[in-house]
Amino acid sequence: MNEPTTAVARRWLLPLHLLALFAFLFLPAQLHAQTRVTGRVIAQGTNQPIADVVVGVTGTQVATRTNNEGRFALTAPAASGTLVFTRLGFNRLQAPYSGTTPVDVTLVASATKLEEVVVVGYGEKIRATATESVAQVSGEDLRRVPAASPEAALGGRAPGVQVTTESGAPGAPVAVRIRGVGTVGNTQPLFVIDGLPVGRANSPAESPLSTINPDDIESISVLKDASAAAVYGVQAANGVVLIQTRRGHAKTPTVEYNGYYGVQNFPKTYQMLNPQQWYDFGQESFTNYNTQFGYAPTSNDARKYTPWLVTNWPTISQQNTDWGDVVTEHNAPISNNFLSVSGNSDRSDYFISGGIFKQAPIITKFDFRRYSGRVNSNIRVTDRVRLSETFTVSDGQTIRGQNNGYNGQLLPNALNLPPFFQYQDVNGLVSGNRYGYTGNAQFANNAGLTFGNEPALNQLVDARDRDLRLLGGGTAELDILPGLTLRSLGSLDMNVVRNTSFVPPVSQAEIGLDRADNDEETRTDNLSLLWSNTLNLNKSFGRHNVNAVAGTEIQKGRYTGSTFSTTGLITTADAYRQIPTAGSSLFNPPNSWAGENAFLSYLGRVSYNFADKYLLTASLRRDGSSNFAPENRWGTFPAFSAGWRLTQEPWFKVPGLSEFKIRGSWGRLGNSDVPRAFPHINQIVTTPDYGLNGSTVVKAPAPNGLVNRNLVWETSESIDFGFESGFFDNRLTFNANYFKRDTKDFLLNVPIPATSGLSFGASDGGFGASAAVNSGLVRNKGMEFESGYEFTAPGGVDIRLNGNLTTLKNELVSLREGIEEYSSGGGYRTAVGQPIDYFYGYKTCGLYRDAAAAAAAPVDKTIGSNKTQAGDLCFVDINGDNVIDAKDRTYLGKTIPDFYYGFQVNSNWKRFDVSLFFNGVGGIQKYNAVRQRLGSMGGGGGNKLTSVLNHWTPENPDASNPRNVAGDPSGNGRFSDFWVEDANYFRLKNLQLGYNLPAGKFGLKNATRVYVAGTNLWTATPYSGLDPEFTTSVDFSRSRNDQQQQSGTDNGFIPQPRMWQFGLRTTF
Amino acid sequence: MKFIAKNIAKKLATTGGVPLLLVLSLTMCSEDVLDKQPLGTLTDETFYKTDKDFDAATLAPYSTMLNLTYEQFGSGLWNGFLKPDDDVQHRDPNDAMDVFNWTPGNNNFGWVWANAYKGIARANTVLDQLPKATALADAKKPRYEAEAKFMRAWWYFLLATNWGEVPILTTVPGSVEETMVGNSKPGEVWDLIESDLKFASTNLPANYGSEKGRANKWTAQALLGKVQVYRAQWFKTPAKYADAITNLQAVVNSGAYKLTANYGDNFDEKKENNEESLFEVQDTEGDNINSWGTTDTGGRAGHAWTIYVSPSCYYGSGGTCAPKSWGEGYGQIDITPSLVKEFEPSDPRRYYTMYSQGEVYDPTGSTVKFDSTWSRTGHTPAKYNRPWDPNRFPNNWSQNNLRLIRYADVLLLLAEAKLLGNNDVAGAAALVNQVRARARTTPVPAEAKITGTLADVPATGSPAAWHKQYLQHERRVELATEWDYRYEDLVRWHRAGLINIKTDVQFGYPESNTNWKETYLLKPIPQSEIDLNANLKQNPGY
Repeated sequence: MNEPTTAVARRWLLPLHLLALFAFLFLPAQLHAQTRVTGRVIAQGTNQPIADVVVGVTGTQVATRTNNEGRFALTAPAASGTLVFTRLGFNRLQAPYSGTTPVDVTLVASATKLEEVVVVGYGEKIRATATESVAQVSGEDLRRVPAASPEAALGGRAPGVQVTTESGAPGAPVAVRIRGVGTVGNTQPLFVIDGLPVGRANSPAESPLSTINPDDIESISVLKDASAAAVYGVQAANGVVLIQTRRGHAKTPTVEYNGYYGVQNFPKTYQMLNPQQWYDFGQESFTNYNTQFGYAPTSNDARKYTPWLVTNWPTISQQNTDWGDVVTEHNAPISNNFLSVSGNSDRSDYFISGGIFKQAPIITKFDFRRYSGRVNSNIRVTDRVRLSETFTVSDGQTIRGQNNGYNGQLLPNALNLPPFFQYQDVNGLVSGNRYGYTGNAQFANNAGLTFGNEPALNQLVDARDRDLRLLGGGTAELDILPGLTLRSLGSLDMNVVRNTSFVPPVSQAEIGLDRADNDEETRTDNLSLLWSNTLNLNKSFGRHNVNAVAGTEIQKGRYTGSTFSTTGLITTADAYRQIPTAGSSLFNPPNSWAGENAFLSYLGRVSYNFADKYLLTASLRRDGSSNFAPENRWGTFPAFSAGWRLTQEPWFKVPGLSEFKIRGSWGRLGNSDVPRAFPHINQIVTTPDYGLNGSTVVKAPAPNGLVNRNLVWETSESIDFGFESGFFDNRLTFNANYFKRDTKDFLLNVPIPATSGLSFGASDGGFGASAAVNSGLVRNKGMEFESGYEFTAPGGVDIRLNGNLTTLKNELVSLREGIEEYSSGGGYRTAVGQPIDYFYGYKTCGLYRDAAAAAAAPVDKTIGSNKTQAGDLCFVDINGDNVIDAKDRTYLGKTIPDFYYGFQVNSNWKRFDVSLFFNGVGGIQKYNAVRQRLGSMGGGGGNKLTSVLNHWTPENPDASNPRNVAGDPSGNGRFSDFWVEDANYFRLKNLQLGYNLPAGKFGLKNATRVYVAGTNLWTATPYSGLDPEFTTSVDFSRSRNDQQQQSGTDNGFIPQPRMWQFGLRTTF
Repeated sequence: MKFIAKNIAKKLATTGGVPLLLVLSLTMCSEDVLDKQPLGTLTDETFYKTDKDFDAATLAPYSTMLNLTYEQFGSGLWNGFLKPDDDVQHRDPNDAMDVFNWTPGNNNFGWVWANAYKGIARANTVLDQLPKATALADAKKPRYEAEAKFMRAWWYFLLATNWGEVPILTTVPGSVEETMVGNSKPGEVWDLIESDLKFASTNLPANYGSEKGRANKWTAQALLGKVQVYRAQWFKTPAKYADAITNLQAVVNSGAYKLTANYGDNFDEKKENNEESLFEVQDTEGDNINSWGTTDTGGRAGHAWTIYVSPSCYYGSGGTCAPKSWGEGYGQIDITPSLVKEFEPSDPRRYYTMYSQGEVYDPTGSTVKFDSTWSRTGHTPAKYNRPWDPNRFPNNWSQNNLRLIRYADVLLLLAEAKLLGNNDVAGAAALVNQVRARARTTPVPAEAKITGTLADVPATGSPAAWHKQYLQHERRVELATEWDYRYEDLVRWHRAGLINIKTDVQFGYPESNTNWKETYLLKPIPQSEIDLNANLKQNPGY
């Protein structure tokens, strides 16, 4: 709670430690007796010599390389010590030397990408013999990008996986899309942490991963095709992300410390008008308005600045507030400290860790911190019985002000303030009120100077979001027979959330009336329990290899919540804010809710391969969900996949080709994530009331939404096929896959006409009626390419290159019968033949450069009686009826990209390592709502971007912006392609430069790596906003970010910060 | 958990009873676990059973009326319905509603449209559920059915007079397809309204005792008469006047209502549900003091009329600010000069309709006088807002019931029906003079500067001329700024050929008259509704 102290602590603690380390490092090395050491290196199995092996002496800078005969010779500083042998493609080896005795060693080839073990549902497989499409990312790679939530670092690492963070706000939700967008509804994949599916339907839990410390992660597997995901049938329609946490490996207890400290800054800033520009721009817009409507400048109906403003302008104009700077934090700190202890003995292994992550925002007041701890262990009870457990607890807290839309339209709100308003003046006429809009009477005129002083309000409001989460479970394994194992997993996911928001009292002087303080508090708790029992068979009969899984799984969830707010508080101290003064009433009476859900599943999978050559997998899962009416409750999800490793055939000999496998799959997956709880049950709300006799309040219960008993599982049917290849002992790999996924009956909350009368609780003009339906067919198809190459460049630089590219085409094939399209709201639309949720509005055709052109324009019915003028935007008459109306709206862009990619370069040279990670997205548009708000014409009110200065006037007919007129009588600011921009980008996401300190020194038993890293350092994009990498959630509750709806609107959230960090990793 | 698992595992390992665990897990996984019910909410399995349930459920369509009047910036009713008329004008010129720059994208109309259908769905819910309520005695059902039908008719009447041939839903939609209803046929919605109101007037009780606020037999019959007067004029079918006379006369003959002695009582919070009131919105504090939303969204159950119309500041030359401007008065609308002129100098009703220069404004403390420079036109609305009370809490909320059907309205409608249906000038004059007599004897303070005595209207003349000169005048001054009735009066008279809106009406801003065209006899259907429902056609001209 005591932020200042910890803030100071986080600023000096790490650098101090590092400074101390470096001081040791550069102490002059002592001189020792020199010894000539020679030897030879051969490969295990082939006994062939290995060239280019780096041979170093531990604790020194001495190193050399083997020649073509595998021989080496070096001069060691001591008579005896340890040699380290490293070579790409081989396991690292340490060997002692003593005197001049030759050291001959044998290196073991290391597992390459194709030989690695990949985690699939309910088991593991060797990649080379797997038939499924699985992408795996190591925890090591994930940790390179500093992020609160591990999935945020997934982007660009694996083909077919698109990751977009909502914003640069600390702990912001992350949208993960696997192989496109299958539905307009929930399109987030299923997350499974150590076997426990988390964050399922109807559980208002936060993003399940935001509570997981990235340092605890061993690897993340993404199950992309139906065959891989089918054992997760339920909820797997959007793919599955499996997360494995770390286990103890080392024989001796190992303590690992991993920490970094970084600073974050805005990648870009907006340029706003200064006071005189503001005044002149406003005056021009008033003059043009008065001219258009024939008002004499002195008439009461004319628009003009108030006499007060005009009189005081000479003074006021000298005040120039940089509102952007007011809300900006420079060098906002981010830090992570992680400590773990792990070990392994005959009977058990363990991994215990704790971490503290803190991130301040680049915008004022949005501090996030998380404490987390984990205990993972395995116990071999007998030779046949094993027990294991994994538990993690995390406690997150965000302290923030009042950021509209939860995470900060604070920047655009601040920029919108007139530049001569002041932030801190408490009694002056201009900024005398913290809220701006009421007490500020002199401005509340036709000029529309009615603004909330959002930065001040943001400081005033104290909102805290606290989230305590416990996630874990235990597994018991019993070997019934050799190769046959019974496995029982019980786990739980529990979280308790308490969010509070406190607004202090405000006075008459401040906002024009006295208003009491109020404190709002919301508490929720969620519990999800899972029990799964599986029988696993792993058996080889000669060259026949069988791997089979069969089992049952049950998951139950329960959630409760309550909210209330109080006013007239007894004291405003944080701890007592719930207590109103005697006699003071509740501002909002308590409201509570509760819910339950359950899943029941039967699953089975058989994998068979003959001689590791012909590979087959079949799986089946049957799921029941409480989300549907009893008659529609069950879904069955089969899948098949097959592969053929041609390189295992004796007749298949291609020089250099070391591995070649073709594979393919077909399968069905389900999704039961209904858009609202119990859509099949007619639920009655009791919120409305009515006062009989003018005073007695009586409840007036009413129906709550459309009841749909006919909802069924959303089903996705997918095929994919491709090949995996390896060349030169798999140093070079190249994989390609084609996929097609048809999602039908997708579950969607469709907007329905207000004539239904079922728009309960909608406050946006009474609309917002919607209904949960199965809605049609969406097709995603595309290609994935992935390639890796490892080589040693001249000079002994080991280089590993990895790249991946995914192409995607998303198309809505059909909606419900008789429905071709529907409006998704806010300038978006979903229609047959188009990608989901594309931009829908008016297309522009430049400006009407002169009066003659404007006079010839089609009649614009959307602006009522007003007439199009010279300098107005030209809107295209799409249907050619010579009238501009709602029927002329059309496709303006899309929110699902054509392709996305990532590219990594990792290189090692001696003790240095450098890595670069690029990612990018192509063929995507964003709606720049910030520019629409701050860059549209018509002045005298909020401040504008300097880009407005280039607008149409008779003298500047070729301007890029339309004419400047108050009130926008021609609707130039309407939603059109004028505000939709290409938002493809190519970004240097991460750059790291590391140095490995030698082991053995300064009490460091093992290697210690120190590094500097930069994130989001460089971006190439045509997008004019601060950052093209964001997604918008229609749901500001931030609980989940799973919807594709309205995902491309730039509301001016916090952009991805540019970050520099300095880190250290060591073990003891 | 570890302990248990360990024990089980050990036992299994020693006994070899592997199947035990499997069997156990399968029995635990009985499919009953999937039978979940929503918690903490009523469902139709637990509600719509008893008369108590229906007593509550029938209030839902009434409660929806509160949504129309909650918005402090006037969305919905005030902006959509009141501003277009010639009683008031917006404080800012070129306001789209005020100067007839109406477009389908305008959400003020959408707000009314959406809430009307919400009210209808809630009435239909009662009608759908009544036959299923087997535990409820059949004898009790007609009253609930009648009450639901009254409210359904009330909402459809609002829709029909504003949008014309609107979609008709008589049950709650059970699928998305069922929500996509097209425009109704001409007259169809009026037939439904009349038949619902006939059922209601036959089956509703004459009163509810202490449960004031529910529509009774006379409310239904009065509304039926009103609908028939409208219908006679909208469709130029004078035969409907006879039906209207029958129904309105029945209300008069019942003796259940009379004019209050003081005209001002009709807008006084302490005189709600009085002897003149047939129907009013029951505004209350609600069970919630959060004033920033409707009761539907968990907010209050009152209205924001007073903060909306209380003066704030006028920025024209010499303009000044009212006390607590912007805090407790937004001054969104002013009284038009033409309404000021409409009042005879001797008419006390002017005082209760508007604030004028020198009248006591803030009776607390130092007795602030109303200053005409607070308002663009010199006058702001006073109904429901006199006396102005700066200390009411919360400041932006009012519990003063908005009156929907007053006995004076019944008398004037009956007069109009007799005048135009039977050419009965004398009969009409007698009724109008009843209303004028009450106005005449209503007391006013001297500061109001009412001079002379309000005279009776003559009992002779040609019906059309008499209508124009006396009846139209009387309706305007008696009902000024109440609900949406003024613009609806103008529309029906225009349709009946009794006036020409474009030339006979002075709206306030000159653009209003310039821009007005017959298209604006109906409101535009919200564009979002057209977008969502291919069967729905926009009203002509938009």
